[in-house]
Amino acid sequence: MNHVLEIDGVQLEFDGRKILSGIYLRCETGKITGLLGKNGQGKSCLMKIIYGSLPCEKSVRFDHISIVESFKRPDLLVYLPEFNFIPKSLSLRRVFQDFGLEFSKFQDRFSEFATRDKSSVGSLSGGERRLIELYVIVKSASQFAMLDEPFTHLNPLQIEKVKELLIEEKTNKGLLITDHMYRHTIDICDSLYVLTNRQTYLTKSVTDIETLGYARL
Amino acid sequence: MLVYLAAVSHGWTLANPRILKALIVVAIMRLFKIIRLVWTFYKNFLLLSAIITAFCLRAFWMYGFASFFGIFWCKVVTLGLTYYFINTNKKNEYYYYQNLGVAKTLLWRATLSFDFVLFLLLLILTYHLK
Repeated sequence: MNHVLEIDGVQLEFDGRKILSGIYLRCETGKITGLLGKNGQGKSCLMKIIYGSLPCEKSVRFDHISIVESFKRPDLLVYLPEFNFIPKSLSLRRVFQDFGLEFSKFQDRFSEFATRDKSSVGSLSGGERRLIELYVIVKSASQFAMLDEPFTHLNPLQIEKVKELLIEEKTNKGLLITDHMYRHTIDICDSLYVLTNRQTYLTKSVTDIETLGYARL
Repeated sequence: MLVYLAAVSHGWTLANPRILKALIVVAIMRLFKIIRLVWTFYKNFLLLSAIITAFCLRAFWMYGFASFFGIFWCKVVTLGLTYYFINTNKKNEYYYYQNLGVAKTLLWRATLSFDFVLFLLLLILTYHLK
């Protein structure tokens, strides 16, 4: 059975300045949905609004049922923020235990982590830390996952592996991704929105990205 | 909840001892997981809090009830400052706990309540030992 996540009716203002007003997003399990937009357009804010950590007027619906504070339902939605969020003091083994995942499967995929399960998160490099965070979020038992800049800090080989992981994992959940490495995002997305002028536009072809002023192809 | 729904879809009910046992096991495991996560969060300020509590108990031992008002507010104010500094410096880590189903309000309610109740119990114990 396919599950649907829909967002609309978002009204976000900072100091009387409208940031978001004409938003509609639809994500489905089995698909990767991309969200592109210039800096300051409100992509990260929109993700926080969907997650419920940034309160504002909105309608977030899971299978047509409205949920205001999605962060209270990790079975429905998990969120990879753009910054590091795993406490530095925790060991990798502990992090994988918390998310109910097997470290051995992770090290089979990313061999550079072999036998490092006792290392603390704080001892990892920025890219390694990002990879761990991305993996546990993508693999966690949830209907949907939102990923804010998943490719940042990763090297090209890791990016290719992560793309494979995301394509593989979309059979289990719906993924919403935003990243300025738009070519990677376009490669793996089934549907793509561009956020500009406070509104979301569903693109019909890749050339729409240029028409909407996000990038020169 | 998910276990229960899965069981109901297979025609099982709570009257079935197998499903009841499974539900209890799941609930206990979930409780232990929450306690472990709250403890991990508490460790952010456990040492500082223990030092302040020890300082307060020492003052109470030396000066008795005359110092109670000062000790009480010292503890309350330092807990308030702790809340402010953790909220400022560790706010990104809330996403870790939220992604595991533990809300920020639960983290603070559980840790502050535990810390303050422990402080009061130790004060009472100090009073009786004196």
